[in-house]
Amino acid sequence: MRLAYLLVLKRLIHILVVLLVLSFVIFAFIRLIPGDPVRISLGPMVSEETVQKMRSELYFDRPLVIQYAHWLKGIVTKGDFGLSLYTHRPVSADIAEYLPKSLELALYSGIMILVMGVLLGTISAIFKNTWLDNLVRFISYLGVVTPPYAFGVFFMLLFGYILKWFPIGGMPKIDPAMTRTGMLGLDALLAGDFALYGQILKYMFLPALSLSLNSIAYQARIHRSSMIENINADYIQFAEVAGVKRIRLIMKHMMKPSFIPTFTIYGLQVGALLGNAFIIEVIFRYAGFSQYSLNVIMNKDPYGIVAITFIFGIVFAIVNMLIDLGVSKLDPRISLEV
Amino acid sequence: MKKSRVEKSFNPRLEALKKSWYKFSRNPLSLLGLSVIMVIFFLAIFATVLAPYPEDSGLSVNFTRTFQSPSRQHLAGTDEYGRDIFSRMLVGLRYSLAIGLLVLILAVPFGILLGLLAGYYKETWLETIVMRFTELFMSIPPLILAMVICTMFTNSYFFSSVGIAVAWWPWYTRLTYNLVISVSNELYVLYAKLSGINVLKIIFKEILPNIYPSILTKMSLDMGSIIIIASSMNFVGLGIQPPTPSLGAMVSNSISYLPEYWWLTVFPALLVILIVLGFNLLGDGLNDIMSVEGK
Amino acid sequence: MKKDLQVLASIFLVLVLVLVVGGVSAAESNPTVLRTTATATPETVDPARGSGENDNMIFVNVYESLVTPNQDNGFPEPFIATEWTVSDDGRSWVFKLREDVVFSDGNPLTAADVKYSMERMIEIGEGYAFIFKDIVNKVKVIDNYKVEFVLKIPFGPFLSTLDCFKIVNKKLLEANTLSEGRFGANGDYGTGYLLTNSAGSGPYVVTEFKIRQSVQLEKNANYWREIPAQAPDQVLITQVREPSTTKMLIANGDVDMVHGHQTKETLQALLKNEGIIHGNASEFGLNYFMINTKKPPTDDVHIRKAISYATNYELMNEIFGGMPKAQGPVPPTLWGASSNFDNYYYNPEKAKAAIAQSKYADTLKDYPLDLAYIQGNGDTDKLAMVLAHDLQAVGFSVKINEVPWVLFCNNQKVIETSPHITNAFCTANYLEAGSILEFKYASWTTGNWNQNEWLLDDKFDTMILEALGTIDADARKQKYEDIQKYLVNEVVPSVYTFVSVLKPVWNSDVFSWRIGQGKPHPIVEYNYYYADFAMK
Repeated sequence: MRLAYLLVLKRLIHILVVLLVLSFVIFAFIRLIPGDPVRISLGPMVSEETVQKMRSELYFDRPLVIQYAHWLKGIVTKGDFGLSLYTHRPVSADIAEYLPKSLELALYSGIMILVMGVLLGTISAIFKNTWLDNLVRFISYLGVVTPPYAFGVFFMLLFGYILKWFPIGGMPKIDPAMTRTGMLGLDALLAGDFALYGQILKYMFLPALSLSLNSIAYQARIHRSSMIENINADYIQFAEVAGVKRIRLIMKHMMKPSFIPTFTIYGLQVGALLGNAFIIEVIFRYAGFSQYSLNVIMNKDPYGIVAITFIFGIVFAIVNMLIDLGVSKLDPRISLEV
Repeated sequence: MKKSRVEKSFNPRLEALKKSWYKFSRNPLSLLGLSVIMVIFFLAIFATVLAPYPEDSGLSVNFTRTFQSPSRQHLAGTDEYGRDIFSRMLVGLRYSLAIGLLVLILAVPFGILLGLLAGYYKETWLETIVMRFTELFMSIPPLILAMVICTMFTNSYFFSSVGIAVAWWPWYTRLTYNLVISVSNELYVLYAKLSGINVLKIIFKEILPNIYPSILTKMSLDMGSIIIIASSMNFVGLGIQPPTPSLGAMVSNSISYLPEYWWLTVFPALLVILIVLGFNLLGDGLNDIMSVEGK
Repeated sequence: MKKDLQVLASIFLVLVLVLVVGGVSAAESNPTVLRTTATATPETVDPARGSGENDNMIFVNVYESLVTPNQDNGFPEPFIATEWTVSDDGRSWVFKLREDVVFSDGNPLTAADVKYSMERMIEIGEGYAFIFKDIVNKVKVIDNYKVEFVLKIPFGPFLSTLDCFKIVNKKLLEANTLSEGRFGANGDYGTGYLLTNSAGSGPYVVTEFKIRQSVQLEKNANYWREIPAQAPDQVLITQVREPSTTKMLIANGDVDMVHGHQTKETLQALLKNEGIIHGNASEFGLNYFMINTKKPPTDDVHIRKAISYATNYELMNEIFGGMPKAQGPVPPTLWGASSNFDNYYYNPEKAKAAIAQSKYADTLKDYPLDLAYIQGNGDTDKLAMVLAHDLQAVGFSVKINEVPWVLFCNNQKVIETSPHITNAFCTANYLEAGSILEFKYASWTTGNWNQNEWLLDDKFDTMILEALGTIDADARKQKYEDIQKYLVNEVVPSVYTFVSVLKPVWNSDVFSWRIGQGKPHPIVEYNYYYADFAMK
């Protein structure tokens, strides 16, 4: 376990260095590109004097190194990521509002991917080469190759418009007094309002499903082949000959080793959810972090862009770390390299 | 003298290829994938010849025949400008395939080169720099990175490809790096290294031939992903400009006409799915022969 | 692992259960709610920072001005100011204020608030500050209910512009001003507070604001006049751009009204739903093809004439479902508009003849035209396609560019990146021809997306300055007419396609309003004065 802590520590330092370099590069990049972000934000009719005032507040009239140092100081001392030119408020406030929403969406998608992916993969492996296997494989193929936005539009039309089972995008209203974590569902649960929680789930279901279907299909394929490899393994063949019941065999002896590739892929898929969600968030009008990222990029909002790449970098690093830790727990033979 | 006579009668590379093809051809799904890809490339190359209304892929408007549902004259119906959707799909195939190829051409050689360097010069500063650099780029979601690049420069077909390529190369670096590391422990490479053979020769003669099947597999799978990413960028108005058809833009532009005029969206979307499916089947087929070989 | 799986499975089951239970119980609240959509929410609800149509839709409900436009002809009439006098040189305006006006927190509205609001707007420099910063010298409080505006120059349309000047609650804002900010002694000038709160005297207050998502308004309990009981207690404005979503929301009854910028096809689909009707409200704006007068080949007036003759006005009008015809640079119903000149019409032969007269007659193919429009701006993509098609037919080579809004604005910053032709709707800021003429063609308003023309024409500049400085209405009108004649006959800076008309769609079973009665307010935003709505 000490080894794990060491690994975490080393990785954290590593992440920090990468992020520092990354943010500096982005700062330099943003200053190089044509188009003054402050002017874009304030619009064409605003006088040069007003633009200059804003520029000076954002340190855009100072040398790059000073601006960067100021920005870094803000983060370290106040957790302040600078002012967003798109929302006109501190970027940290934006992150606090939007990130939890996307994390919650990713959470439900993550649960769906794991449960459905493993379930389908296991069924496929157990009933290998039967019609059931072929059906599942066919569905997963379609799932892998269909663009997520196609799912989004199709589900919204079918379940929202024609069948009317689910709302057509948007987000449920939640009493601002209830807001604690920023995750709508969790806040509702913390407040003990289960009816509201149910409603929130109803709003989240279609976006979460559209977001996760690609990964579910991929996960199912990985899990299937991984299980089949294990079925062919000598010790399983031996146990079967020795008369151990098949179901028991699958559940008890095969699940764990089969989970190693599954888990690795799962981590990568969940890690990518945040960045890939933006079209889904746009289609379902889900005001999350991906949509915010899209908006700051399109508006060339400098502090916003730096902040989102920062966040994505952290999420990527954490996910990778968790994968390594998880894999080493599943298979003691894979040692952690420190 | 003796040696060359043996080579004439028995070419190991050719035999291996024949063997692989035999394995590949035994899987009907792989064959299906290959034939889908071949048909699609055929259609794309001869698009302007095959299209019933080739002029509809350019600046053409015909407001007397807008929103016609699929019929014998217009197999996939007509769109909001009265253009034949089937013709536009054929020409759009070209641009969708071209963007995939363009991204791969930009990203793959660069990625492989860095991967080879990092893998060959393992445990040196070169490896550290290259791999940290790679991680830097991998930590940002490809779609986000591509959009940043595209908004920063000109919003065009070419720059959207460049944007995607910038986000794509790290995956090839990482793959090549891992492959090189596993291959360089093989005896023949160690032997070559010890006997002082030129670095380039080792890389091109011994390492590359052994890793290219994996890279080819990934390229096949990636064609599909790139086409999807490019079409996702059309959603926010980045990438190819009208009236030039690309399948992704055809889908995203016509979503606003759902559900009444469904044929504007459904047929191009199905074609996207078909292309991606073809490349995936092909990639899986390639993967299968290799994993069997590996055992 | 098995245990973990069990835990996961049970979590999943619970989720499904809660989902089912939650779906069954749904409580309805009592207050009447009007649910509507907009193409975008404002960026802030601060009247010193917004100037677009979506901003004004909120502002007219939340804030009030010294004058208010007459609901028949749009001319300013007394409102917060009951009467006013203007000095002979046109540089001093004294307004007498009503004494019974209170803000939403109960504070009375006095001359000090007027002074504070004007100074705040000019200092912040955004929104409509560009109208006032070069006109207003200072504001003097004469007594609690009397205020004087001292102008830098005589300015004819001053009264009309006052509708763009909203009065904010000085006491409330000062209490909520952060000391740290870019406005020196004024700190952040209350901009932080007004990001999501309102501080006005109008019939509604902002109760929730989420940028690019939604705005929620509620009746102002302290309103100084009577708000009719049938007016909605709550208004929820949601940003919905995607037409297919709009159609589904209306079909499912999830919204009562949608914004007025729907495409012809969307409109037809929406009207198929029971109870759903639509109305028309002309805007003081036109659809323009703006031609860059500084880039080859469009720097040649003959080329610009050729483009004007190559525009298929009727087809374009039909694409938009029938709009009033544009007669010149100024929307025909705007005060000071003129049609006393020969306008252009669709005639490819004349277009070819004009090209032949130009200095680019033989080299036209060497200068491909960039034709840009804003992504997702209604059916303007179709207008661009039609023009491109016709331009190609007369010999131009054309490249179409669909540009996201922010990039569109950014490209207009300098001549080099401004395309040869852009398509957009431009609207007058106040009700006079001078507003749109200055905004679109004066040298000091270049660099904004309303002026892709880059006119930079000394003669025009002199003419417009002279007109705006004329206090006498008839004389001013004459000067506006001369300017329009000059533009159309000699400069040909733009193609005037048609008048922009708002076509809101709503559920007639839920409410009735001004546009439904066929009496649209001349100033489009005032149609959305929710106190005039009658919920059923």
